[in-house]
Amino acid sequence: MIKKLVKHIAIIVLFCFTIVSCTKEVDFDQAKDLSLEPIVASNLVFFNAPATNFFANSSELITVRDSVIIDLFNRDFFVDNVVKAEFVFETVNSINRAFSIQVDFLDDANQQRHTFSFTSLASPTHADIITTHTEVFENNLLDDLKASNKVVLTIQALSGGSPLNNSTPGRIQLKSKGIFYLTTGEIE
Amino acid sequence: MRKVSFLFGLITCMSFSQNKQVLYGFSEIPQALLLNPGGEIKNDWYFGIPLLSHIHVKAGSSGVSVYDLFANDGIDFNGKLRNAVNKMKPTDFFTINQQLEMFSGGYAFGPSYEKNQYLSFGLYQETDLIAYFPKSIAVLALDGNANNINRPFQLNQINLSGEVLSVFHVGYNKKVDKDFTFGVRGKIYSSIANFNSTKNKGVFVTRTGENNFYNQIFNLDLEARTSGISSLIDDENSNFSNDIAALRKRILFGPNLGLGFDIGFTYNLTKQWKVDASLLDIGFISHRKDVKNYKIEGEYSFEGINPLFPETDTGQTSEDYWNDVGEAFEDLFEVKENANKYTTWRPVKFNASLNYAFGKKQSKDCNCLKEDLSYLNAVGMQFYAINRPKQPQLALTAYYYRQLFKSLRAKVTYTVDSYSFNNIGLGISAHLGGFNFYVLADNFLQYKNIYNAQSVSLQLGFNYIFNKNEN
Repeated sequence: MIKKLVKHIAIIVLFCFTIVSCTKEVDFDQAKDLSLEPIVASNLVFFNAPATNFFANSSELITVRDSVIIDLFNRDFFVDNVVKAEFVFETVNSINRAFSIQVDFLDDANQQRHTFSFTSLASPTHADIITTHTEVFENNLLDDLKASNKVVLTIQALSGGSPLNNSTPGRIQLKSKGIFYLTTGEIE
Repeated sequence: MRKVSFLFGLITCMSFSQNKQVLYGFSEIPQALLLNPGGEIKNDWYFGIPLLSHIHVKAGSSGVSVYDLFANDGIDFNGKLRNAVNKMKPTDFFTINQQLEMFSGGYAFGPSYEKNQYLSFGLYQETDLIAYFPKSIAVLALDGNANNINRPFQLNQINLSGEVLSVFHVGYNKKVDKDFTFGVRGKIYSSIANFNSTKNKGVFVTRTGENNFYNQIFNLDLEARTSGISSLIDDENSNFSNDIAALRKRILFGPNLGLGFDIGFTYNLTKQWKVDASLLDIGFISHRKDVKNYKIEGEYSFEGINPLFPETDTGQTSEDYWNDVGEAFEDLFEVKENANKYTTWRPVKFNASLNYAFGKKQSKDCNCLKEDLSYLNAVGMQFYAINRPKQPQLALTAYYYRQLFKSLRAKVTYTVDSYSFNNIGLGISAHLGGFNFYVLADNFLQYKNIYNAQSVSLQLGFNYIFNKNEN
């Protein structure tokens, strides 16, 4: 009986050895190298305004301005993971008047951290004139963006061209998007 | 041609999860009766050694192996991850199944000259997890949406469920005549914890827009249901042992109960040919207590914000307009909780096999065959199917069974499943007096590098068996 038991246990142990078997070298620490680098695109601001929008109370409305509180750029996830940002603007102008588009970035203390502007050219023939502008945020400029929580958008009619009244033909359209380059995990 | 592609599609869907192809039909092992309550019975009575009578673990991944991702081969991990994501399909899945028998036993009864009925019972604990690979979410995380304009990211690819439960069961088996045996098993399920998120819908897509560059469409209809979990997470104490104690109480008749049954039969076509089949876990669990469900539902199409010339309703200031945009996003992603009771169905399993026995033992005394001896060899085909959230998973097995010595039985299986056409399984059952030990495992060809196996399975256990017709 004992002999038999030993024999059987020997067979079973042998069997278990074949089960335990070999492994080739693996390194689970590699998971620490995990780094995702998605590129996220999002709409920003837009407007589509006929020339008549720039005429109010019987006079030209030279400057239209509004501010937007945006608490996206200084959120932890954004601050930690965004390594580069591009803001792409496109205007389509069919008004015989040039406009300046200005974007200001302000921080908590209402201090200006960054500003840029570009000109949407006048369209003497009222054909669509397309102007594009790309603002790239990297390094110090990216830090300024991450410190901002308020964006001021200003559109200003420049002098010259046709006067703006309630029968001025044409319109100005603005499209904008943000392209955010993210790197999660390991940042060298 | 269409038939061929259908067949190929069927085979690629084949899988292993919960399949115990080595144990099925291995009638010397009492636990085989759990895979077919109408199976053949070869003992008078038995009891399982408590907590050691059936230990089963199975883990698998239909798309990638551990080695694919973690091989120490100097290749950049992120590159390997990207390859894996590209290679995998939304129907690929990861699964873990574990069972531990607390106790079990069985005994034959009936007329003393022929005990043709058998009662078996037991309690086991089971863990079952399945998570499908949410490919679109993985691509979104890897690449983002900027280079995927117009590509819909499907949220229905989020599909996972898991449960921990205990099952108390009593089975009845009757040998009606020398050819036909049937059996049923009633089960009481006690859910220890459950979560599932299998009916998600919706899409996130960035399309080319009208008023702005894009039209970003969020269409979310996501739901996760849980029971038995929130009381563990939300309780004030951070003492883990209290949670363990709470879980232990649920093993026998916890707050969320269910009912189910198994049925099966064996029919001898001739002395050597035999068919059998079983349906397992036809049952449900009603989750009524300690339920917490989470829902995100909403639709929003975002074109950006228009602070200068908002197309506002009358009297609305641009401030109001901006608040509306913010609120729309908050509403969209707001997680709503409820405690609505729900019912889950257990994954129904189907087994069937066709078997041929041959090769009777030669008697030592005379050069003739002993009439009452059973055959030493058997070959056969087994079919297995399990109902899963997305689609049933199937497996086909061919096997060879052999009685090696009087006290040692072995079975070799060859199984076709979704990752490989070369899953070799092996099992042995040793019988020493009344003492029985068995160990069964599959995917042997992968054991030269176990990390390269997409699935591994192991069952082992100890029983004490009193056999009739000891010879």
